[in-house]
Amino acid sequence: MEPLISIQLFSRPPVYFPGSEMVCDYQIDAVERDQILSVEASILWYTEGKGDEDLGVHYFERRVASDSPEEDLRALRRFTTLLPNSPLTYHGDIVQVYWCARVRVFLHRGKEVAAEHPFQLGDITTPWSPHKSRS
Amino acid sequence: MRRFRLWEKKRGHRTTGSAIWGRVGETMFFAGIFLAGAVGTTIFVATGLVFEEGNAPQWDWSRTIALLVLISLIVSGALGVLFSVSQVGTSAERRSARAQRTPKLDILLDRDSARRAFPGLPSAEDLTNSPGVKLAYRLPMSFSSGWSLLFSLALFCLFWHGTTAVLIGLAVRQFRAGHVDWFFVFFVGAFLFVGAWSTQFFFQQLAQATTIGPTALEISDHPLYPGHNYNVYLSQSGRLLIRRLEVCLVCDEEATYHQGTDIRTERRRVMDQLLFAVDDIDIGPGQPFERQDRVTMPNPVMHSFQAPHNSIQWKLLVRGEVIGWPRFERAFPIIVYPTNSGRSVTIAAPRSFVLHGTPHQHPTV
Repeated sequence: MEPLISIQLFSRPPVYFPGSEMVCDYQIDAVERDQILSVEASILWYTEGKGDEDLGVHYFERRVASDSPEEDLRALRRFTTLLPNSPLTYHGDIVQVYWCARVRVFLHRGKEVAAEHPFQLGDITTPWSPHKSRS
Repeated sequence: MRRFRLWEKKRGHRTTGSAIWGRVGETMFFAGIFLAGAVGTTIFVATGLVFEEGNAPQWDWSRTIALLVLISLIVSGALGVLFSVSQVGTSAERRSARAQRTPKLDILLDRDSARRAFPGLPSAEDLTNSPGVKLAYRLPMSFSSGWSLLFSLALFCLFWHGTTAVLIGLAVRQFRAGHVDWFFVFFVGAFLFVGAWSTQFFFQQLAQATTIGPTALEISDHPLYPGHNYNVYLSQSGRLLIRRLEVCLVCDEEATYHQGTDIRTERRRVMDQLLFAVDDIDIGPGQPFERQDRVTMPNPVMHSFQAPHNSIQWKLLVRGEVIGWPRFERAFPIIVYPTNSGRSVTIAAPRSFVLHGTPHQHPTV
């Protein structure tokens, strides 16, 4: 059975603005404690669309068992970060920019499992559609 | 059964198989190159091609080149194996975070601090280092607007005419020998036709670039912010009768992707907004046409964005319809920053999400 990764953001809807503080909780279940080698949590943007993927990491932490008080990486973990000014979330024709909180769990025998929680940075995508502006 | 498309760009989930097996395959590929280089070098030396038995080394250029090729195989194979092994157990996020923390040279620190404040935005430094005559900044014209086409055309014409000259020489030799291959003559004729057309097009473009005269565009402030007002000054020189001259604000999305072994770039115009236009202009010698106008950046709009494979480019575009000439376009890149307004966050009750872990689908960077 795959481990369960829970990610929690404290904003509803998950829309943030540049410079605002983001609080993120994550927890891992349905896996034995000694099965987990390390856990990586990151706040990042990535592109989708016609081009090859670009990726930029805003926040990154990597934890191994010895970093945790009871050597248990499954326990609830919270981190806080100030979001950057850019790039803002964007849904273009051939370029899209997405933000997400991603948690990646490294297990024994080279196996890894990841989950992500998308969120929106800025509010340019809702009112502005590229097509509306064409003359 | 699932079929893999070898030469098409993958859609949706971006991996077609196991990442571990992919890494193993990559490592084996580089190990093979290393092995080929090592075995080749050993055979090269052992068979006495470099040092002939009992004599001083017989060294010439062909042997040096052969040895260099073999050594380059060893070096590239070894580096490839080391790189592949170093990628094992590291995620794309970790590599990206590590790369961002790499110390920069002092000379790059200023530019780097601006990029840290606005990640993903191109540098505006090159666009603000030229003061204007009427307004704060004179915008540089994009090289791609005309001169790059002219340069490419010149290269093409040189290559084409060189090839055609060789073909004509062969045809003349055949003719003198009394043997005429009419298919070959027709082939040379087609080459001559393409050469003549490309030369005519080159001179037409050259005449347009030199006759129409320089276009200057100045702006009151830079970088630009959505919703803000700016003064724009346009100056057009040359001895021309212009039917219509317009200044537009355009936004292009640009995406670069691999397709098989090719690297392709696709550009899509997502916004084209007329700022101002002037009809029926008669520009005399030494008296450039001048026009200053106040323009408003639309709001909300996406800011400029620059990543290795994707970008969003804003430009001021000057379009002209000159009587007796093809329509011309000159582009002046600008940088649009994200707006400062609307920075408020509503903290609502915690929202829980439980996501079932699935093998990660994003490719490595």
